Amino acid sequence: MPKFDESMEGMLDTFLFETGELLENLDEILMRAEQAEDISLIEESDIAEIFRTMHTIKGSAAMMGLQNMSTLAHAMEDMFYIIREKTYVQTDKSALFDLLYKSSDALKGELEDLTDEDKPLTDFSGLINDIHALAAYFKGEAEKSGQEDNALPADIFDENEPPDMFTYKLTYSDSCEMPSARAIVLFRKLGAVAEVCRTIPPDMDDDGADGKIKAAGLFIKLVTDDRAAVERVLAAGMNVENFELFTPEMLKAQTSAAPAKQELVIPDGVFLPDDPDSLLTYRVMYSESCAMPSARAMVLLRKLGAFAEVCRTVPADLDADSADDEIAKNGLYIKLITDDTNAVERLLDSGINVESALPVKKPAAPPKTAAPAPKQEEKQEQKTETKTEEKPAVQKKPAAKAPKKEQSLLTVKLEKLDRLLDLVSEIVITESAVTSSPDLRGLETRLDRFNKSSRELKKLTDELQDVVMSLRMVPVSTAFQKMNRVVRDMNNTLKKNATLVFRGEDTEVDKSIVDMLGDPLMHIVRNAVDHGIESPEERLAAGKTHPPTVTLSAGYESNEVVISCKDNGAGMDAAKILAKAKKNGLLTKPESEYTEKEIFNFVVAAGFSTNEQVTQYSGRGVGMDVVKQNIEKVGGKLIVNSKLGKGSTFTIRIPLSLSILDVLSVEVGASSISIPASSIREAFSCNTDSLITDPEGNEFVYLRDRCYPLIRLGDKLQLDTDITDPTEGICMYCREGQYEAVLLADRIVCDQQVVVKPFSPLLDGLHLKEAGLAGCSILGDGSMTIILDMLSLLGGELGEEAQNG
Amino acid sequence: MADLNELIENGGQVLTFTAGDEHFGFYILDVSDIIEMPAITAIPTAPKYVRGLMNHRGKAVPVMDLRLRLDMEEAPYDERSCVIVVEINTMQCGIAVDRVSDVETILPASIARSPVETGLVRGFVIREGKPRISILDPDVLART
Repeated sequence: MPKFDESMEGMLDTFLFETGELLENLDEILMRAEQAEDISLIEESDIAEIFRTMHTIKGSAAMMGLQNMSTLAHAMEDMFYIIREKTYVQTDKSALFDLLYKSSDALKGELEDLTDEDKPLTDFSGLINDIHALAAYFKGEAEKSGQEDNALPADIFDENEPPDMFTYKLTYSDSCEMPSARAIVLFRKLGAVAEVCRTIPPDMDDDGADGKIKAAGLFIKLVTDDRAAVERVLAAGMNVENFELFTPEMLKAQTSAAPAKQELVIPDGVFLPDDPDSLLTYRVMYSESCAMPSARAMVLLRKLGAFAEVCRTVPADLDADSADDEIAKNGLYIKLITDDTNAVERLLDSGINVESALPVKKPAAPPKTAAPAPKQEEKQEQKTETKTEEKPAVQKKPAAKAPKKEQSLLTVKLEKLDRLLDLVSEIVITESAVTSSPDLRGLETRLDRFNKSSRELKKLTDELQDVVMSLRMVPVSTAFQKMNRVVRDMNNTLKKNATLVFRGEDTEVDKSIVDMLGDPLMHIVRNAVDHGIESPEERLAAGKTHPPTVTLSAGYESNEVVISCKDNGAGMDAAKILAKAKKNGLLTKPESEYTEKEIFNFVVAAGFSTNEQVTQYSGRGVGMDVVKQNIEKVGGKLIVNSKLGKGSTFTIRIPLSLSILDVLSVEVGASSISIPASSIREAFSCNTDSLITDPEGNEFVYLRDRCYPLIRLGDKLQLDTDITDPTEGICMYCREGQYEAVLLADRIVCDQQVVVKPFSPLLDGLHLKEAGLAGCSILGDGSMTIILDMLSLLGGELGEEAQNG
Repeated sequence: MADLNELIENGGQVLTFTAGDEHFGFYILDVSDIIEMPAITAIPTAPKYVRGLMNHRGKAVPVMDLRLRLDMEEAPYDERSCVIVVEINTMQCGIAVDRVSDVETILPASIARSPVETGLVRGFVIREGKPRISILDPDVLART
């Protein structure tokens, strides 16, 4: 069953994106809010922000028809209403934040599952009940019961029910843990003497049933011939404290009790400090059946004109749309001056639909009226907010702030942005094709003006390219912020009290890099806290006085983004790692030849974990391998460094733009071939002495005491070339991963930066990648060059396997 | 990509061209461009009928030689040779042909469907007094 209305499908993307952002944002604020010593010390702006976030999620989830998410968000919103209004009597900060994080995780999880049609909507009622319970605790028990009593189910009496149906209200004693279970037993017993038609709450198996029964009581609707027998059964029921026959009149009495209480609420503006004493105030309550009390009020006011002078009314404008609602809720206040109060009262009482019309006295202490007034208004706000979901929060300050924030950001589909990027790079290439066109060279005339304009054009296109590139740039802080959560959770379970410090988090990198960074960073940070940072006892023993710290920093270095995670923990023992590597059979050369750097790089090898114990967070040795692979996928490198006793540093280096590659372009015959510069170690001309051919015809190049296989690019790539003697061409010693070889080309053209374009999918059948070709690139002059895939070129079939595995 | 079946059922406009002595046609909706012979960068290790890549409006578009693709005799390109750019599911491919002849409106009555459903040639245009035209399926043609 699809989770949404078909009409909502189109909104799904936006909903997922926006709600995802909001939740990320929420986590950030929660982290900040949690720093506060006490709930009462949380910044008001943060509370308002959380409140607004939950409200938005609630609204958009409801719009998507996701009742479960909406209700959960609503519960969180209620919770923060209490905090914002400071109506709590007691607080429990850790319980609150645990619950909030749990809820935020639950919402995030639900978002992820949304697109999966097989997964049903998650039932959050457990979590919601927890939040309600905590909210009740915050407010203090007394208020809880008082409030929920009002929440009498409105549908107890059905208009269509037969007149011989009896309704009993049962109250269970407070000590009864599971009234719903008792109720089920009771129903079974009742079955012998009566026919139970309906109960409220309807489903005893529902998680919320217990709460409802405890709050409002259990209503049983039944048809019976023997009321006495029924009442006997009810009285004998376990834990039943009280039962009574419930009638529609009683319901009315209870519900009307609520408005009766409201009589004390006098809206702001009824009494003004400068009102003369002769001014009388009447409140007119209209009956509920009156559809438009404002119209009745206008007629009434006109009639009053005969006896009295009406100064003003509250609500002031009876034509306003909201006037009806206000009158229905608070009543109509009429301020008038008259000589004949009796006549006025008579007239008011005789007004159509008027239920009551009473004079209202000015509160005893006039100066105070101004102060309590806003409070009363807020109370009403709470009512409207909790009752009607559709109405936006009546919170004025943040509401005014919100649109301002939205206007400075624009959400654009990534595809559109990529298209723009493509177009701009085409323009840049075309620009250089035009301005350096070979046709211009043959021209006799001077091209001063043309040259001036083309320089101008170049400046503009360069700027355009920069701007478009920067569109995709986002600060790394988005990836960093998520780590706050990781460290917080781990601190809670591991009790290491590690602090996370950010440096250079406003460094901007390509969006795709930030997205990619999330997972690796999480693994690295987890490792740092779990393995790196010692327990407080160990730190004390080692004489470390500095607080345990994990530092995440970001910055640029030449053409790379450098992101590092540094901890001041135990560090790694090179000897221990080497021993373990030996045990695992990872060594490829004598132990003594390994440099410290090489040894530490074993840490990120698959299945390598020096941790003896597998913990909840790390130790299986899978994580770091994945990290390395993820980073290498985008052309980055992971470097590990460590000092025993001082701490370790994991550094990620990623090329600034993913698609731009440094290459060395060479010629083979008539073809232009580009070799990624990162894999070329050395280019040299070889002499005849260093060439070796074995009896099977394999060729090797002898270079500094070692033999490397010679790969003639002409042969390997099936290109015709006149240069067959290696001494006439250029040799390049290349290394990629574990593979090494010397490549032979005709001559070096230049080293340059190119934008790699993968081959058209139409050519998939040619297996070009396996043949050692990574793609092509269009150069500034419009010509093209083929870019080599070094791993498969050097490794041959082996390379393929290594890549697939 | 335009649906070739539509052309064969209902008729429509066909771009006709020649390779060797034979006449071929593409459904006009499959064709996105006709350009004169561009500079082509060879793709190493690729079979001969894949001529290489051309820079077509900033994109690296593969070019195939129709003669070689259909196992005909190779011929040097001259000033009348050109590349027809066809579009296959938003991907582009250039097909080098000897010459482009015409755009003709073909009536359904003169089109015969090829019994080979997934072949290179999807149908034939057979009209009295005129050479036979084979309607090519660009998808099958361009996929290697």
